[in-house]
Amino acid sequence: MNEKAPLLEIEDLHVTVGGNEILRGLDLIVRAGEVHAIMGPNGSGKSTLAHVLAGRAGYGVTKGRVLYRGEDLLAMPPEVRAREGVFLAFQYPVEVPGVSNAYFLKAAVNAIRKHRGLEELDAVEFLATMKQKMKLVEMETDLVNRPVNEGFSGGEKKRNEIFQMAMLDPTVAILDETDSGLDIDALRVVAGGVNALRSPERAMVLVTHYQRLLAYIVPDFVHVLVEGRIVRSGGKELALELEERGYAWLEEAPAPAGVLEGNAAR
Amino acid sequence: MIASVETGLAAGAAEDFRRRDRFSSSSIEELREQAFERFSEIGWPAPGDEAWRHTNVASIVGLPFRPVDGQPPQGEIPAEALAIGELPRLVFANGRLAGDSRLDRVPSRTRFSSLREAAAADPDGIASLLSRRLPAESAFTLLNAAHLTDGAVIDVPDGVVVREPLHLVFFASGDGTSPALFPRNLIRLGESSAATIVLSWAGRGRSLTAAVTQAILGENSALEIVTLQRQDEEAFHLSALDVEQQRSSRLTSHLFSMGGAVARDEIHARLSGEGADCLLNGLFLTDREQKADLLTVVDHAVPHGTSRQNYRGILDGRSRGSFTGRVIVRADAQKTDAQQSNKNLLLSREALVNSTPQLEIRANDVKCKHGSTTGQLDADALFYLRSRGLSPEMARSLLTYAFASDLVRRVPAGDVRAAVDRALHERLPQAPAIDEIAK
Repeated sequence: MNEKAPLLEIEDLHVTVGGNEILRGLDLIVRAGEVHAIMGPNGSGKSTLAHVLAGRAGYGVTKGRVLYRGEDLLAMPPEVRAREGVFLAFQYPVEVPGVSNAYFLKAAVNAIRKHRGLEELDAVEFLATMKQKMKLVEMETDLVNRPVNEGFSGGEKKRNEIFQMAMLDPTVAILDETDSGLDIDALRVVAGGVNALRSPERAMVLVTHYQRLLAYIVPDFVHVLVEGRIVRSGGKELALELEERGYAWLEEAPAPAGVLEGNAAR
Repeated sequence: MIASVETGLAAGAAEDFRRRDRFSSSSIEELREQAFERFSEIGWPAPGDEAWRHTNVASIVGLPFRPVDGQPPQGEIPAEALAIGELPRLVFANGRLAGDSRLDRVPSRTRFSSLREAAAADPDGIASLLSRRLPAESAFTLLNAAHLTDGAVIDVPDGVVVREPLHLVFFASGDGTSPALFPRNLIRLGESSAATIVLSWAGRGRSLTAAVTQAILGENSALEIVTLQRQDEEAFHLSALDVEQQRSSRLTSHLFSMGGAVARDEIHARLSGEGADCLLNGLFLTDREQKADLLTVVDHAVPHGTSRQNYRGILDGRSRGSFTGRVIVRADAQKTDAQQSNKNLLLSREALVNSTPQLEIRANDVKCKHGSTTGQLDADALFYLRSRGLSPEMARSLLTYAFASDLVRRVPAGDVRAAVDRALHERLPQAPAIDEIAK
């Protein structure tokens, strides 16, 4: 079989937050070109997974490991993960008063390029790249020049996350509840941007509570996270089943560990 | 007894005064003597003096500071480094007017000269300005009046708008000596006139500056003062700005305090004419063992006055800072609208800041607001920046600079703002330029 090497390998991951075990043995393999959706009820550990992968402080990994292109991701500080190509679109993007979006992005793009042994972009090149990427998410010039996320609407903040993703050109993008709080027009724009960024070299992990997003961004795989474990994996049709039946039937009868092999052994 | 080099400022005060450099005007000399007498009466601020709670007076007056007597400072004065573009400027090196001044491009009817020159040309006019009693009288303002090292006189006639900012540079050179400098600036704006004045304080080695700047704003006039204090970290810097605001006048002050072992800045604004507007902005940055003490008193004496205060502090190392903001609204001052905000950022666990708002409201139809916050860099914002590839140092520097930039942006655009930005960069070397960061 001509299978691509995995970009992300999560094995038996256990994570504790404030003394509570949130992830309890999570396994997931993500290969280039794939889009995975991780669904689950509130409190199942979806956002914890996203934060652990990005390197946020306060999450204790007690067991298991995460390999990114074969290397220990958890040993890297957050900025190194970003430079190596891991991107997290935040559920709640942070406001940074006094720093313009454009400046912030230029600093970020150049930090990443430097790490990868590329020339830093000069002002003209940067502007040209920015203009091109702004179209992807219908980003207005005004938003680019304003302080990062300050006074942005919910939809504008989410669009800005996808715009940043487009600028930073990640290898693995984790989108944490990117659809929450969006009206249908904003969702269409954000999803359009994400779809435009799908490529054979890039993988995406969509963390979401609602099936709605998956009508716009069609995943290759859907996983259901319950109480810190993936209890079921399947194709996009699993999302439709969840939409009809909810999560309760999975919460009541967690699948035996063997079911998970479907993903790992594929 | 002749004061020796080792005699402290307090112990040598009388002898120092006797040896002063005299003015030719007897009325000015009389005022100087009165000031010294009053100083002898009231003495140094006592440990219990509320206004001096955060400034350690004993640490200053015990040091062997000697008033300078017209001797040229040792070493080179980096006047060019202190220049701001091509702005007209008066440069005072150890209190005395230096050859680096440039006086072209000042409107012809505007007086822009040293105090000693002005006193020779118009002794009675200067004496009358000097005779105004300062509301915040202290040992240091009285010693200032007694010694009057020198300073600037800026007198803008009615209706004249001075387009270019006027720059005053004070350089304190303490190489091998410990000079005590008592600069006095007198500013008067005529009716419907306007001017922007930049005060740059800098120096090298140990020195004491006890400065007083007095300003009288005529009806409908507008004064913008930008203070850039970058004294040596061995220097002691005490400064008092006293402003009298007549009807519909507007004062805008921007203070950037970055240097000094001890830096104390007082601003006293009296809104004595209706409809006056007073905007006070300020930022102090302290590190290591530095101490910054900021005091403002905004006195609303008549109706329809507006005041806005926006002060911030950034403290690192084991430094100390304090902001004491007093707003007085007198019984007659109905329809006053006063706001005060003080925000502080602590960059180290050992740094400490005090914030004391004092509102004294005696009128009943007024709007007064104050707010004070002290915190550290936002952990969520730091993580957000790092998750985009920025190093922790860059992320911290960017957020610190962003905190400061709110005040930099209020400075008039152009050479002056660029100079403030450059100075800020010397303190926050990782930070980008403001015009870059905001665009």
